[in-house]
This record gives sequence, C-alpha cells and structure tokens, in this order.
Amino acid sequence: MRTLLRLATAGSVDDGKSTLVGRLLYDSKSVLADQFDAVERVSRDRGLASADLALLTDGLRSEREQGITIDVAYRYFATAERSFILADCPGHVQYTRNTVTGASTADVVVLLVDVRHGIQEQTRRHLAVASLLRVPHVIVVVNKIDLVEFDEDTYNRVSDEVLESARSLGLYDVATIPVSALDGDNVVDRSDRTPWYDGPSLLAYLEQLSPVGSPQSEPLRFPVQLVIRPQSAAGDEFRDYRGYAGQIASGLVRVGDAVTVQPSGRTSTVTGIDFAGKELTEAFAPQSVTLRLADDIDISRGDLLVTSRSVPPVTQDIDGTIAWLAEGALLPGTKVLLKHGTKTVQAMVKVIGGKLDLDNARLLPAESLGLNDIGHVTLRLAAPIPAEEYIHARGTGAFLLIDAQDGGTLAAGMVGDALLDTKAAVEAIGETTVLV
Amino acid sequence: MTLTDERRLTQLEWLESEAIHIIREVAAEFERPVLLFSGGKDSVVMLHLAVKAFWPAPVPFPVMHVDTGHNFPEVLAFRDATVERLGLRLEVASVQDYIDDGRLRERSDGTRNQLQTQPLLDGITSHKFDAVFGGGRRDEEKARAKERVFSLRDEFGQWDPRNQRPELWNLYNGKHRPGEHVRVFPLSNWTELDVWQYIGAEDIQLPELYYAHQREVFERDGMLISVSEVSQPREGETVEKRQVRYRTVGDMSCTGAVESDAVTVDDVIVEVAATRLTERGATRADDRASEAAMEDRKKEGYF
Repeated sequence: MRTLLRLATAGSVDDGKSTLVGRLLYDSKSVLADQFDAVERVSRDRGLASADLALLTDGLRSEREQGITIDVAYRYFATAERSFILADCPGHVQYTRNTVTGASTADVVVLLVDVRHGIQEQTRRHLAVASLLRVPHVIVVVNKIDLVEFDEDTYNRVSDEVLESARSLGLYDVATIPVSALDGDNVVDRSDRTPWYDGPSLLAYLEQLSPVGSPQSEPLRFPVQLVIRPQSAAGDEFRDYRGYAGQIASGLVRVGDAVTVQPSGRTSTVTGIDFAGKELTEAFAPQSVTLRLADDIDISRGDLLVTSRSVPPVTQDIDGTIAWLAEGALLPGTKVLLKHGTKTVQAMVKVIGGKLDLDNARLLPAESLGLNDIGHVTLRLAAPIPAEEYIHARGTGAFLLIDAQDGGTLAAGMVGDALLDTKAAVEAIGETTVLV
Repeated sequence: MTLTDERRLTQLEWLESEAIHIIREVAAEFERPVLLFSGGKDSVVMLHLAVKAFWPAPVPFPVMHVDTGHNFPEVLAFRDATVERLGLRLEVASVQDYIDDGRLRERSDGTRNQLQTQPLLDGITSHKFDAVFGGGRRDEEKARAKERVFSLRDEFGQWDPRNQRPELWNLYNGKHRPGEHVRVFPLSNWTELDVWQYIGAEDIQLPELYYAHQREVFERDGMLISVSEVSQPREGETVEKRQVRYRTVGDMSCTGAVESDAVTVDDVIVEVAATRLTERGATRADDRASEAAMEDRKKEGYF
C-alpha cells in the first residue's frame, strides 16, 4: 500500500531550493521528456552550459524573469514506496506567508542552508514557522557542499549551528544532510564525495519518515460541514434521512459511540456511518463521511461533534499565536472574521501581547503586528467556539483571520501559546519519532 | 492501540477524502456553485466525487459546459447521457453562437480553445455563479502548479498569480466581494496516474475514445489529429488508419491522439505510468504556443 507524505521547502533566497527540487524530480525520474526539453531549450537560449533545473518549478513569467520563486508551486513525485506532494516555497522575506502556507499542511519541512553562509535571518524565521505550525519533522539540507570542497568540518560547523538554533525554538526532530543540489550529491543517491557522512540520501530519508497524519488515538473531532436531508429528492427510502457530513479532523468513530455537540453540549449516539451508499462500522481521520445520530437534535454547519469521553471547553475568549500575512498592520480594536473548522464568527482583537524576536526566540512588547510578524493576540469572539490548544490538536486548534470587507486572508492562527511553551511542544512532537 | 497498528488511508483514499471535503465546503459556503463538465475524464471524476459527497441527496448544483463547437460528438453524447442519468441541469455556453453573431472572430489557425474564455465568463456572470468547480490539476502544467484550491477571480474574471491568498491547513476561505467569483479545484493534488487509478478502482465510465481504437488520423506538428469536419488534412498531410487513444479530450482541431494498445483501464494505467511525455505536451497544440501560454490564458479568466 502506497502512502502519502507532504513536504514543504524553505530557506533563504539563493540557497538553491528550486534547484534541489528540480534535482529531486529529475533524479527520481519524475520529469517527463517534454518538460525537460523545454527547460533545456530555455537554458540554451540564456547561454547556460547545462539545463537549469530550477526552471522546472519556477512556473510564472515573473519568476523566470527575476530568477526567483514568488509563490508556492506544488509538485508531485513518487517512488515505489511512497507518493509525495511537495510545496516549493519562496525564500524572500516578503514571501514568508507562502512558507507558512506550505508548512501548514506539511509532514516535513526541507530547509536549505548555504554551507558557505550558515544560518541567515530567513533560516531562523523558517525554523520558527516549522516550530510554530508543529511540522512533525525537519530536514536541514546543507547545500552547495561542492563549493567548500566537501569539507567535513565546515559541514559540521553549520550543522551544529542549525541544530542549536532549532533547539532554541523547540524543534528536536531535526536531521541535517550534506548536499550539492547542483550536482546531485546525496539527493537521490548517496554521494562518494562525502565519505565522512554515513546517513541516508534526502530521498531515502523521505521514504523512511513516518507519515504523521492525525493519530487515531486522539479524541474524536468532527466539524459538521453540511446536514444532508434529501427529503423527497432521493425517493421514499431516504425521505426521513438526516446525516451530518464532514471530514474527521482527529480520532476514530464507531457505531454506538456517545458523542457531544459543541458548543450546545447536547449529546447523542452514533447510529450509522455512511460513505456514499456504503455503511461503515468505523471511520477515522482524515476520512470524509456522513454520521447518523439516534436523536433528532439541533445540529448545523459550524458545530463540532466530539467524543463524549473528551469534550473540549467552549469559550468566547481566545489567546492565540498568529502569523500576520497581510500588508496592513494589525492594531488592537480591529474587527475581523475568524474561521475555525467549519464555523466563521466575528472577532475583535483585544490585546496584542507581543511579537516574536526570531534571533533569540523571545517575545518583545509590540503595539501592532506587520506583514510576516509572528505574535500573540487575545481575541473576543461574537459566539463561542470549542477551542483546543494547537500544540495538542493540529486539526482543531487552527484558525484563520479574514478581512470582513474584502474577504482576504489576514492571518494564520493557533490557539494557545504556540511559541514559548517549548517543553509541551517537545512532548507533542515526541510521539512521532523518526523511524530511521 | 499503538501507532503502528493504526490504519492509514491509501493515497487514493486520502485524495478522495480531500476532494469531497472541498466540494462540501463549496456547497455550504456559496450561494450558486456550478461544476464545469465537459465529459472529459477529470470532469467525470469530479462529478463522481460530487455524487459521493452528497449521497443520498442529489448533487445540489448544476453543471456547465463551454462547447467550442469542435467537440467530439461521442463526448457530447456521453455528456448528455451522464447529465440525464444524474438528473442535473446543464447550462451550455456556446462558442459557435458567439462566432455566428460576431461577438467572437474565428482565429486564423481555426482552433477555438482560446475563444472559450469569453463565453465562460459571460456564463458565470449571467447565471450569477459565485463558485465554479474546475477539474484542473497542478501536475498538468507549471502555471497550474501555482494555483490555489480556492482561487479568487476579480470582476473581470482575471487571475492574479502574484497576489493569491495564502491557503492554510484545510481551512478554505471562500469570502469574496460582489462580482468576484472563486474557481475551485478539488483535484488539485491528483496526478494523471491517480485519476486513472481512481477510474479503475471506482469503475467509472468514460467516453470510449479514451481507450485504444482504430481511427483515421493525420500527423500535424508531431500530433495525430482526427479527420473531421473541423480538422481536415492540408497538403502534404496523409490520412492513415491507426490504433490510437486520447489522453485529453478538448477541441478536435488541436487535440492530438496518441498511438496506443491500451483497451482497458488497467492497460491505460500501465501506459500512463510508463509514459515519457506529459498529457498536455503530448496532445495539446494550444499549450505549446509559448512558455507561458497557460499562464497568459489563465490571467484572462480561462479554466
């Protein structure tokens, strides 16, 4: 059975991300002949001696003109073991929001560092993003090793520096690999030019990583998307059918389970799990199913069905950590929309509790948040939501802040103190150790 | 239960679950969604997923087809039979009508893919559709690789690739201003191979021309073009009967067939897994026009 792993690239501009991705695609034979011909043709037109593999991913006109990645590009490749969805994220500071986007769904962040330059501001920022979004694994590719004569000491110095910075941000599941993306050393195959390195190649590492998904041992969380009620439209058999459609955010549900509806607190029992005409006895995250309940209680879109054994508290006051992704500044008193699961409510920013200083992972006082800032906020909501800390619940601890006027996405939010509670973070991440 | 005992979704189950979640979000958050349905394999899979998403209720939105007037007759027949079987409302935006009344002019090369944008946008506006499902996949083409699942279009239908909303977790933001609409791509993360494996696993019916058959074709720009009213051989192009199938189904005048012995779904899966050419590179003249042909068309409001 082939499984899926989602990865996101990160790193400073010119660290060679697009080249690495191009190399990964090319050496894993995921680039087709006509795509490669196009890259060769353009490279030749630009007077390059060999094909510039970065052109495989820089898909927009302005990206090719400037030779940089502006927006996330999604790429797909597969080996015999596994399929990969890769979000190739840009490196420029002004596009940090795209790294946040890529990391939000990633099982692993592949962070590039130029071995000649070591840690840059963007490296630290991207490590912070990986930590903040609780990406389960981080692989640091120490790139351009060919430019330092494959020197072990230089590699070790950069590797130690990165690992220390990662630890200060609460990231412990971090591996480093010496790579030349340009020549392909340690990308798909182990290189004989780094005899002192005894770990796996990048691709071998990605194949061995445990995919994380949403553990079924977590309590059931099921945001209701729709109530399915065909009435007369599906014939007599389904005239009285009433089902609650949604995608299981975490945990497992079985027929007979006691469930509680949040925020109302009403309870019932699962009498059926339907999937397109098939009756299931159990279902688990992230399956999309339809649940039937014993009682005809008031449930609609935006409600959260949870196991009655573990009911999250409901609140109108949220302390959260946000990555501010919009051009304008966020000030106390601002009114926004908050989307949590399938519920959207009005929210007001009561307090800005500070912003993260990436150099030493400290919170500094702040009166506003600007583009790409990561900070703490206190929000007052117009209606209660079941809030769970993101560090314990990646599925139901996340929210968006949305501009009520133009509908733009303003911020990625995480319930709780996602930044500084690194001890708890280690415990949360500790369950998903690497199987190498 | 330990972690290793956990059941995991296969990659196809995962993709299916994600697509159903996306389709349900749209049905819940938008006033007037529509699903673009051409009878091509991606739109057939998308419609199949929509049927599964709302079972036992019927699909709660209509479908729309932009008919270039150059469509394969067997695909149109398949389209109509499918719509009839599912009891859906079909809206057709006709490029031919636009040419007949002078709103659009025929291009010198006779192809009509580019001409679809105007009827598509007019169809969206006149029916006040606010969400438009498309079967586009990110693996198809490099501009598409940059597209969001929920992709905002301004009041002119334009896509601004440099100013896309960040898309986080599975929290899709469908908010938009009046006059704007959102294109939604539930198959964003599927590859051509995933689509075929799913067609096989779910026993989904497709127009017959996706499977190998004998057909009169001639070669043009390295592609095998079917002989039809709208695609006649020019001087020096010879017509031959060959065993072919179609990897994509679009405008007859610029969609090429590939030589193939794949007569069943399983044969096609083997063929797709081994191919050395992308489906668009192999079969679409319109995408060969330039390095940024798709990006330019998408900015104007194309699929």
